[in-house]
Amino acid sequence: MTAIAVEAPARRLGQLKQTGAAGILSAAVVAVATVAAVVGPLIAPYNTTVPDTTLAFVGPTGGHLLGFDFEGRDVLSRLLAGAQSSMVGPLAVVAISLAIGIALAVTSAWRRGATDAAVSAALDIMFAFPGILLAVLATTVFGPGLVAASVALGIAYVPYVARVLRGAALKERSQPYVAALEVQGLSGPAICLRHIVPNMRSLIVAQATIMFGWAMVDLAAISFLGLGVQAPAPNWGVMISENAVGVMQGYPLPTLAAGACVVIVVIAFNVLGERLLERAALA
Amino acid sequence: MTALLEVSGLTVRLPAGTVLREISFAIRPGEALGLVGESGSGKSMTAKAVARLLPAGAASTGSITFDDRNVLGLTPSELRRYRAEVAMIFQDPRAHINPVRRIGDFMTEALRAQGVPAAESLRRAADMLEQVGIDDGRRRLRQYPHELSGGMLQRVMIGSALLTSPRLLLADEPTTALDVTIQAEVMAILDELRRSRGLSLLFITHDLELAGAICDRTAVMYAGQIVEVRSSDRLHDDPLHPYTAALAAARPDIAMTRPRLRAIPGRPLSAFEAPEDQCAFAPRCAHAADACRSSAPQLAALDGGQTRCLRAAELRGKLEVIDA
Repeated sequence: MTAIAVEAPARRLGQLKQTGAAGILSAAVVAVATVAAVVGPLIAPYNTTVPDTTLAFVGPTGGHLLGFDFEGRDVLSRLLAGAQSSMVGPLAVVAISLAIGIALAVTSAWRRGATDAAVSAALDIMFAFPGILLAVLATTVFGPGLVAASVALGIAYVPYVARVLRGAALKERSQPYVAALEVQGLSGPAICLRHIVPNMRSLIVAQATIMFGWAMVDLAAISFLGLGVQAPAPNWGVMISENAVGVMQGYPLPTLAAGACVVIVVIAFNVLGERLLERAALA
Repeated sequence: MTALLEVSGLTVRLPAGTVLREISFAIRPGEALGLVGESGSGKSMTAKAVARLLPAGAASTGSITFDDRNVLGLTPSELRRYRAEVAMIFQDPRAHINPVRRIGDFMTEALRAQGVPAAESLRRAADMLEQVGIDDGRRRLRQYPHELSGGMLQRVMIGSALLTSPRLLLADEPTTALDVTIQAEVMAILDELRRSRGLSLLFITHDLELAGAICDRTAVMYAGQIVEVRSSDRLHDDPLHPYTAALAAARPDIAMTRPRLRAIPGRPLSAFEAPEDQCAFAPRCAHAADACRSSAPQLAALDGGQTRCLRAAELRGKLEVIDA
């Protein structure tokens, strides 16, 4: 009896040690990035858009921890201010793909049969188009900018949500309690919205977190190509691109700092997502 | 005689094979019909067909009529209205209640879907809990399913089934998952609430005697067919079908001491294994004749009941004495 009572917390502690450190660190990074996205533009210590070419590529000094970029603007200030557009874009991508993906997954799991087959076939076709290609196409049609690129990426990510959640929704749909709700006279949409989707939430959160990381890389790449956020507005992807000349001239810090921001945040989102996925699988 | 529910010639085919063959029965308003049979005989499938809960890929022929409505042809909105009039109680309450929602959410779900305000729904749910013998309803409504015992959860399920004032209850082995003393309590509550409201009941069970105590008439199923329908008080003592007699003889009886219970030789057949062109029970029947193996008997009226046995008339009164 006592052995069992002692074992449970000990095992929980073991799990925390095993999977916890990286997960907690990732969560902390995600939290810092989120805070930066919200208040970054307000706390940036220097002007982020007015150039001063006399200071171009000047290294770190006391008041400027990361030095100056190719137009002599403070790198740290631009990183902080750029956090906003760098984080909002992926957020929009995730929101769009979740909304469409959940609707498709639940509808096809609920109706099964021909609907399910049609949705699955459509998803297979969508899988064939790389998201970044679709986003580039959208920016050439609708003009460069974050909105067109985010919407296009959001649609391109739909199959990743729908495929994973369809399986979960099918499993949930076959639970006996769903039959009990049906026979109580509840409509299909009511059961889906009030029971099936809420019961998949841990999986939804995990998948959204992982996709946030992908979307950040893709959007940074699009901004790097000059099709996303437009200079001189601060953005990590834009900063990698505009300071890339510095690498050849022996001043790699500005572009590397922006690159490091993307890499660290993306890794944090991925690790956090994997941890959440493990938890969802355990639950 | 106008039946509330009339099932006639219902045959259900799943991709794996036929599970129900030519099921016909009727339930009058206020009447309780028992459905007994071995596992796999099609009892639950019959209830699911009536509730329109058959698995995907099931094909049904025949007809189910509820209050002059064709149940198999209902549109989605008609189906929702139909399901407000037909409530189902399941075998395992724990699996049939969403574990992450509160008892109150579960019980009021159907009422709120009908447009009853939340506060009024909760009040009715609390009243209902009292009627099914659960005190302190307000507190129970805030609890989660894992905080209640199996017997209590089954009472919650019965209560929520009755909340929408249905006209027909489908009870699929409602007490099988409960322990014996709780079974009796839950059965008593279900029986009393049903009688006081004049509800019709389709009661599925393994237990011939329980069916006899609860139901006006009992239908016996074997291999996806109904082999006998008989008023419950005569089923046990004066069975019409050899299978019913054998089933009764295989049960222990408190009034009789036997050195050994008589099992039915062979094993129960699933509906899709049963031969189509002969009596499904013939291979295990002590009374089977050549005629039983060459043609499939139909459900025929006999002495106030119905039986699917070719030799029913000549075997009358001889079925009890199988053993030497």
